[in-house]
Amino acid sequence: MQRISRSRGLLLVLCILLFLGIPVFAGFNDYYVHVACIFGINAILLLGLNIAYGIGGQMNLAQAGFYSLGAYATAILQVNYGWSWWLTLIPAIAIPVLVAVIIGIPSVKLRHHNLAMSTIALGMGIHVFLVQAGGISGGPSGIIGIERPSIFGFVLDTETRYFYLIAVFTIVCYVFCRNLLQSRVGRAILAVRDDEVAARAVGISPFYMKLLSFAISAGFAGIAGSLYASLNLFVSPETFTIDLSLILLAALMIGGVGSNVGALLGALFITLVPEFLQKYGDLELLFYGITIILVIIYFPKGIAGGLDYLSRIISSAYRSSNEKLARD
Amino acid sequence: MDFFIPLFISGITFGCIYILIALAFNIVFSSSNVINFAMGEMVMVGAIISSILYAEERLPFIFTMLFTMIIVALLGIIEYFVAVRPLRRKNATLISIVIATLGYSIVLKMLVALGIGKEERSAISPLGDNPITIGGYNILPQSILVVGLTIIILLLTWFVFNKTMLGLSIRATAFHMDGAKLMGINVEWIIALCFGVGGGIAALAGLLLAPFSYASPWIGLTYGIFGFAATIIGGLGNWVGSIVGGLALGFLEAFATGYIGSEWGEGIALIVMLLILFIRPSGLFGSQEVQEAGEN
Repeated sequence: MQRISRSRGLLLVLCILLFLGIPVFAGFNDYYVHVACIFGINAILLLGLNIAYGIGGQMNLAQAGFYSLGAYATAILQVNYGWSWWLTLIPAIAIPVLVAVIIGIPSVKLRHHNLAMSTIALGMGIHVFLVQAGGISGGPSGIIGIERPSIFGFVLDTETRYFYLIAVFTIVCYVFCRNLLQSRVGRAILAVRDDEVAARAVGISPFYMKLLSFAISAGFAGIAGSLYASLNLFVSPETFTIDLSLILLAALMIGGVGSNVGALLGALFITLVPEFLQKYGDLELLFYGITIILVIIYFPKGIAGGLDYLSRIISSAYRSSNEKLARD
Repeated sequence: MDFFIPLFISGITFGCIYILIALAFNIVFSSSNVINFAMGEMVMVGAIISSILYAEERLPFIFTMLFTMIIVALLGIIEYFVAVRPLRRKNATLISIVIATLGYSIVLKMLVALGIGKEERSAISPLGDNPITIGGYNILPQSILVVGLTIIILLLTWFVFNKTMLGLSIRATAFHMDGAKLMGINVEWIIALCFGVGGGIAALAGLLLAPFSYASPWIGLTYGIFGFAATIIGGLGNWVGSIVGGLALGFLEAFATGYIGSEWGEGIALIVMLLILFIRPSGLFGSQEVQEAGEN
């Protein structure tokens, strides 16, 4: 067991180094680094969605809505009120969390299709608000003139410089999720997902745990939104439709629901697929629709589940060969 | 007061369309406990096929109506066999079935967008656009068609469900699936049939609403949500409730549009649905048992 966890830690460090090295491998090509930035943002979004849906068992189809709240908070406060990006990060996290808590208090009681429908309605409601409240949000045309953030006067103006900011946030979010799963709170959230009655019997409040997982999920989406606004330098409502929530759900299912590595794999998937399907136009969304159906029927555990299965086969084979050696 | 009667008429018209969509949700739900999230897209497919056949190809209205309903009913049956049945056979959770129907809804939407086209199509009413004047108020003939067809469909479903052997089989399936199997009812086909009938009725709703606005691949979700809201207001599985729910939603939207502003009609319907879900998820007329049956 010790060996496995050490080798996993080593693998994690290796992956982080690989991730940080992307701009170098890509020869500081702006296009590839931009794709890597999008991967980081998708990863944060999916890690967040995984906390609500994968770990908490709470269907969340409002993730695109929370994402848009984060993006618009940064865009509006920066462009109209001249706040620095770092300062806008606070409301960009706080607003989605607040909305998630307000809507979450009544909606965590719902289950299955009712929960799915209420989060769809929430996501749609946020979208309707962004399109209609033109005085605040710029209406259908959105907001332009967002700037890249700076650290101590050092402006992160190139893709590579900004990539490292996104990378730091992505890694922090990943480590947060990894530790959450091993913490008391994380285990409590898992317990509520698996058996609400049993969880209640050992003194866990399903209500708070569900609300917490929903709120953390929204907070992650807020961070991602804020990073997105400064990456894209432009926000408009059409980025944040219900389709995006469905794509995120598809990505998480492909990667592996309930697994942080699965969330990262899913992010990799939805970052790369558009790059390949770009020349075919709108095939992307159709592709996701078909994948959702196929994955939920045939591979409910996703890529991460498959990898887990493989590693279990390998480690059991390894162990049995060790035992054989010991016996001889 | 000048606005009241026209808004009332518009409320009844759209209320009837929501009743049809709610009926489609209920038929599928009552036989299989599944909420078909692709229902909105079936409304959309109905609107698009009918506007192509009737407004563009000038085929007879009755033919258009039957053809549209049969095509979309087939889409519903395909949905059951492709997306829902494999999961039911594996005893998958209800939420995975919900996700599968969401996946199917994307597939339908994008197949229409890529295969037929993304443009907004205008539809025309078979009864023409000249308003009929009754008591000093103008009524579009299409409104009368909507109300008439809704009443016919409601009576027809009532008759089939309560007075025929087929209806008895469907009710038996909904009531106790294993018991129904033992009685020699082909449960799989009954549920597939309900998916088909649900699709056909949703297609009719699409065909009826298209002349009031337009048909494009992106209209599905809104109508799906509105139909679901009507179902929820009335209570899942409660057919009389969904009539009240549909009308209530229609009036609410019409009066919100008329007195507050056209852009807020959609938002208000969403808020009402959220409130009903939060305060009384079993609906105004639903019983608690139905709600719990749906959750297991």
